[in-house]
Amino acid sequence: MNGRTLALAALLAFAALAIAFPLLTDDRYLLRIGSMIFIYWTLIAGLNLLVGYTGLLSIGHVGLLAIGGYCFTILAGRYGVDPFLALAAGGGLSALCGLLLGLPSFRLPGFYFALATIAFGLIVAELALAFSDVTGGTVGLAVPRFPDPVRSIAGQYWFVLAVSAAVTWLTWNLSRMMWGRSLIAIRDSDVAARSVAVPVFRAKLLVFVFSGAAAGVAGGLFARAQSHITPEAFNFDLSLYFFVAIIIGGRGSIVGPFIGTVLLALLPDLFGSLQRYTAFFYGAALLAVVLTMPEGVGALIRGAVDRFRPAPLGHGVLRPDPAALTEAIKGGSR
Amino acid sequence: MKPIPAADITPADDAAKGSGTGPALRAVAVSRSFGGVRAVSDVSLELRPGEVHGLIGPNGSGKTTFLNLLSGYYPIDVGRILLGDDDLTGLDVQSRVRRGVSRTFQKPRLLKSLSVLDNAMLGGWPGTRAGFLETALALPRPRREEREIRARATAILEAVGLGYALRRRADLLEHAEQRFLEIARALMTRPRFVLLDEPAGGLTEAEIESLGRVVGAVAAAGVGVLLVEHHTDFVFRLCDRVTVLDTGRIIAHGRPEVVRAHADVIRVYLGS
Repeated sequence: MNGRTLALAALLAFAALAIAFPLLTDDRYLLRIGSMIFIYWTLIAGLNLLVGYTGLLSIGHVGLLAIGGYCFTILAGRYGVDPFLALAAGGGLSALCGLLLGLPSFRLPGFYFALATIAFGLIVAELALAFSDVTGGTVGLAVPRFPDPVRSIAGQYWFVLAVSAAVTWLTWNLSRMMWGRSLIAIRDSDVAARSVAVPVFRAKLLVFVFSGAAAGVAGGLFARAQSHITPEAFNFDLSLYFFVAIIIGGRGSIVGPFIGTVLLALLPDLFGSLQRYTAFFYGAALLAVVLTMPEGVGALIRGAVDRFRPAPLGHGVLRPDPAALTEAIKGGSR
Repeated sequence: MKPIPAADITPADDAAKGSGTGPALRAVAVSRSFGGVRAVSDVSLELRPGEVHGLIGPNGSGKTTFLNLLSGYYPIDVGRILLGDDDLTGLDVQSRVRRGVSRTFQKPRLLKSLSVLDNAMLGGWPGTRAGFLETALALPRPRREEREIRARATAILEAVGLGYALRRRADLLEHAEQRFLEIARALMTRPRFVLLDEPAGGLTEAEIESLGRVVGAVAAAGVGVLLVEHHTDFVFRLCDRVTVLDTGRIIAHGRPEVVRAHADVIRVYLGS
């Protein structure tokens, strides 16, 4: 059994377990945790393309989550828009705001850009408080339910699972084909990216829009899962959580950040009464990973998979074949 | 020392020898200053398809700066860059790559966490048409492009001699392997011209020999090569024409045997 089939088998086993989960338990609390993990993952999967692949450090995505959440709640609740349509609209609005969030990244180098995104997250929360006639302010808003097949707790879980699987599939496609290589080039060497004609500006904006859309949809699902939202619900700890989950998972991996998402989501629950120390646990987890495996959980998994198909070791001799090279270059030359 | 007048840039004796056809890449009276220092001063040079053109000169003579002007990493102050009738002067790096001007770097710029094959495939980017959404949805076009680029990258890597390392991470490569991989990536962009920035730097004699064969094969495919080098023996052996820079100016230009015997060149390299 080689690495690829092993990975596929693991994925199928996990998918079967995730789908069957509501049949295995009717514990509402467990189902709720399951739902929350996949809602968070919907956002983190999109954010991962931005942070893990393109190397743009956004810590402000909770703002996009809030925008998506309020958009969904207000459209579906106050104006009676079909909830699925409202969910998509939330994604659309957050995509647009993601574009705005991304614009400073073209002027500000990494660290300063990260600070600007923090400001974005805080501003959205303040605006939600300030425009209390729209958002309900500190009193908040009741979030409408989805119609029937998705109405029940299990239905909601399956819907969330499907949405997050779809987003994961999209990011996986992007990451494994030419776009993925070009995003990593932007992350690792802007000079190299330009030398192969990667449209750096456009690529960054597209990833911002994509991650914004994912965050917006996640926001709608998040709001529904809360059933009542106030600006408090979109507190800054969440943004930290998203970011740390990706760092723990490792750059340039999808499985890694997913594991990070699950671990960090379960951590506060494992410690029960210590929930108010959540931020402390995020910090401790981050420190532990950075110190013991700086390349993240994803690198560990990749290492394990590679053991099943080791790359040949030792250095060969560079022995070019000029005739073959001329032929290979000409193959479809201009 | 007098710069060679532009009219002499194309001496009658150097008839096109390469197998290439198509437009030439020309720098016309190009200058560039940093602060008060003229790094490149009134340099004119013509690269022809299928020809290997050497650009040599002592440290700080402006060779790499000139390469950066040609490829678009620095804007030029005065002068023009032309590809046939196409004016590249105001274009960014990416647009020049798309028109067929590709390059490598003195210090190879590879994506360290990716495999050798992935690094070479990155060079296939200019040939792709599949958009972001198309790729996200894994529609047929991006998948077809992926297959084609993979096949071409594999062929080029095997031909430059890296066939044994396709799946190896780029940061595990030895120096010469990194250089060859970067050349492979540049070739993946389907260039008309490749600009190589000191490709022989840090290579052993045997590796330089291999590099010579690679450069020869590139020229034989009709691609024009600019070889910016320190290693003058290598340049004189390999190049069809050689240009010598000193303090940003051209001091000699022409066939290797002529340039090698040029009094100013001897003075610059051996001291007066």
